[in-house]
Amino acid sequence: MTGTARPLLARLAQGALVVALVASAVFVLVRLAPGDPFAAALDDPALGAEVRARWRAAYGFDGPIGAQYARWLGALAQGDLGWSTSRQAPVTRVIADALPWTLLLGTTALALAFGVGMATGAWQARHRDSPGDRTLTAVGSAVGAMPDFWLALVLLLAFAWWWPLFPVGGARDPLMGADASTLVRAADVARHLVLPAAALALSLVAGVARLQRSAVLDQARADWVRTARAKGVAARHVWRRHVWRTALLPMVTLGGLALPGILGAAVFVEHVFAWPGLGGLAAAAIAARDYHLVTGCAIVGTVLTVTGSLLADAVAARLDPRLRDEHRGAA
Amino acid sequence: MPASPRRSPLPRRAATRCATLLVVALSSTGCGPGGDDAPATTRATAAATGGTVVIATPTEPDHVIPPVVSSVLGRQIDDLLFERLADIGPALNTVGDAGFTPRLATRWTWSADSLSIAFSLDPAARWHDGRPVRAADVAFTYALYKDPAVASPAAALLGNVDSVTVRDSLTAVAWFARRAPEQFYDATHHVVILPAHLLAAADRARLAAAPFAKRPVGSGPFRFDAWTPGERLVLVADTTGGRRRATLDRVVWTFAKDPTTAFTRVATGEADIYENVRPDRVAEVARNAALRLDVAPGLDYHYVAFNLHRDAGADAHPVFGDRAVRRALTMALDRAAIVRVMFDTLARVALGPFPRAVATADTAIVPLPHAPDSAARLLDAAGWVRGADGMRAKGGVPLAFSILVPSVAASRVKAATVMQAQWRAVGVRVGIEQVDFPAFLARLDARRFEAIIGGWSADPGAGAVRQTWGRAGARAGGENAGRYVSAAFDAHVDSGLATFDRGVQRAHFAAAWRTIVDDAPGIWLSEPWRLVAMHRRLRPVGMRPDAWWARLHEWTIAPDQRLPRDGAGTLAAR
Repeated sequence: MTGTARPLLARLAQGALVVALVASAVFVLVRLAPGDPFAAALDDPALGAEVRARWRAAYGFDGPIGAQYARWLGALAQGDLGWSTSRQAPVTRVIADALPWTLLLGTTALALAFGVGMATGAWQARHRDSPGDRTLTAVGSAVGAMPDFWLALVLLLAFAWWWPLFPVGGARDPLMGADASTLVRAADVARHLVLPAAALALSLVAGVARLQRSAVLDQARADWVRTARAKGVAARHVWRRHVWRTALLPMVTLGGLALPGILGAAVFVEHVFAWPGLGGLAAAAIAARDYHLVTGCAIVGTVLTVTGSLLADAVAARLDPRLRDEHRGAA
Repeated sequence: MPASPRRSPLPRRAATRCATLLVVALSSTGCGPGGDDAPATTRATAAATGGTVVIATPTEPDHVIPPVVSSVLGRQIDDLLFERLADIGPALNTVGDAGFTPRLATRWTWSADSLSIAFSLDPAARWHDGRPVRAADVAFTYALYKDPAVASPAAALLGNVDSVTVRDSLTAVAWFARRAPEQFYDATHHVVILPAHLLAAADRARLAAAPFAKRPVGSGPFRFDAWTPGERLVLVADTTGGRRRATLDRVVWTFAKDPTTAFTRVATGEADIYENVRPDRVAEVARNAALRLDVAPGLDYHYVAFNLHRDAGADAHPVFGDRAVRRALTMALDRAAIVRVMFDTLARVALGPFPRAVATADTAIVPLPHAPDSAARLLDAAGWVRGADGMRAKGGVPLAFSILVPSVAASRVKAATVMQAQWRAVGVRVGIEQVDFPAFLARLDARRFEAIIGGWSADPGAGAVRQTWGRAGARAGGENAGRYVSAAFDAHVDSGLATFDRGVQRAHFAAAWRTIVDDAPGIWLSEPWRLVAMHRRLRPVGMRPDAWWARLHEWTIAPDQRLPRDGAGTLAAR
């Protein structure tokens, strides 16, 4: 086994353990919560106790929790995440329908947040303590302090109601015909994506900008930068090659950490904008006590988080020779 | 068996502090109860078919297969996709067949002993896949609903329907166990007819999981077109059956879990209808020139239920076990003030365990008055005397209890807060427990509460009250969570349900209501108006108190008032 493969495998094993622990904990906790899928998911709680008991048995929720867990593990081993009682469909299919929308929203929001945040932070560092820097810091702090759902509601009211530039919600025009071209469909999705992506991105951009600003300022004071300047390297070159490039490293780590944050914020943002993604799905599943769907969403969310963390580590190690050496040393 | 009421599906929403909202809504929109107010000229213009109605809703059904559908929205969709043998009339009469209109059955014939009814089916009726609707489908449907393996919630309502047999291909005969005033209602209202050829092979224990549940085939005025979970569900007018065509081309439900988002879709013109408008949004509807508000009596009411026993046990509750104390607690409350806090002017004070719109309502009943002084005297007489802190106790036991409310129901939380203050004024200490809706239901089922603020959406059937406030509902798992049992009340209800004379029935029910109001096992709070915001271009027809959508297939949109989105994405008529 090579020196880099072993730590990678160890991290993968750690990740798998985290997923297993989270899934098991969610499996138990959601069943301990008051209510059951046939009292909460349905808005006719006057269903007789006998009817609910029969439905529980038909969907496998009647046995002891240990037996349910064993049955669920057996199905999981075959790639079956169970049956969603609130959607009346296999959990894998429900998640497969929702996941692409969350990935589209999440990646767009991350790209926006990091694109705008890094550019803003770098500009602020170069113009440190200028009126522009101070203004952007204040605005960033204010936006960063706003709760996600509130920000989403403000954007909804401002740009969908008072000034109707964008659709109120959803990911697609519900009246679009089957004969619409791919280009028209893509443009329609893009129009619907603007507000939710902006709401998610705004919640992140202030943090990205602030970190980028301080990273750039740190690097600007580094020895090699002073040396480069002393050697007469052009200021633009020093800035681009020696300051900004090395200041990117914390951004990679932040990117890995931002993924769970995006997933968490997506719960609120997708809810407000009726975006048909994983966040809104998970929130609805919890409210409906849809046991298998809640657990499935938790598994997918944890896998995404672990994967994001692994990718961030891998990219950071690739960019920073010191981290590569650390890994080799550990091996 | 009696009809089963539904606990109100949607959280009761916040009341607004703006005064006279109802007046504002009525005066600024120029509408009132009912929807058949289109001028004759407009009716003539709008006779042409076409148009799309988009309904924005914060809920989404899990499936739409009728025997096991339990969501209000699921029923709404089913009512447009499928057909009953006959429809209840606008007066919601449930005795005999008066007021019922033919639907899938063009006529029916009672047997001499009234123990069977022969339904003659419309020979032109077709399933949306082109196959004819036959009596065998009717027999299959009733057998399916009553099959214990299906566990249909409606099965309990069909107890008097012994069986349905096929006389010939177009005649189905329903056989009853006994002659009863509501036997026609029981047989027709709870069942929509299903296609045997598409459901015969379905797994009955998991009917909701059948492919049919997501792509249903009915015989109603609209056919299923598309369902994108989390986004939309589309029905289109069916033109294959050779029968009446829906005047609208299409009905689309757009789903947004957040009520603000769903409402905003209507406010911005993306959608046409939003039901269950919150009081704080009424002014917004009134200001919007494109919208009107349909205000009409509904079947919802809110109540406080006392648990007359200690949790699930048989012991009497130390406070609520005493009728005089319950009456005192009722008289201590200013219910008119509470209702204003809950709904401003958009609800009436409830008279008893019935909405005014049902046929058995007694609108002349005199509720217990708001009389704090009398309440204090009753409590004194019962031995609950004030201490140094002004709070009452008896034998060292404080007069205190908790009231359970679902946290999502803002209006109920507000009501609990006001009640807490009003009870405190007479020396009663009350705590408020807020829990999420599933936990609220679980506590009710387990009888682990002292008092609750609940909401019922009543059924038109007169027998529903047996389940909500009668002995039948007091059993484990029943809906009478407070377990009020009164032989006199049950006897009056039973007598009312046994008579075919509607006048006598009303008299029996009036006596039943008087009994339960005097016993005060609960406090009847509010009866909100049904508020539906809709685009002014819609010409609604026949909005019933129990189902505003009942005749949606007859609604029209005048050609000169159609929007580009009315035709967007529509395919040629099928």
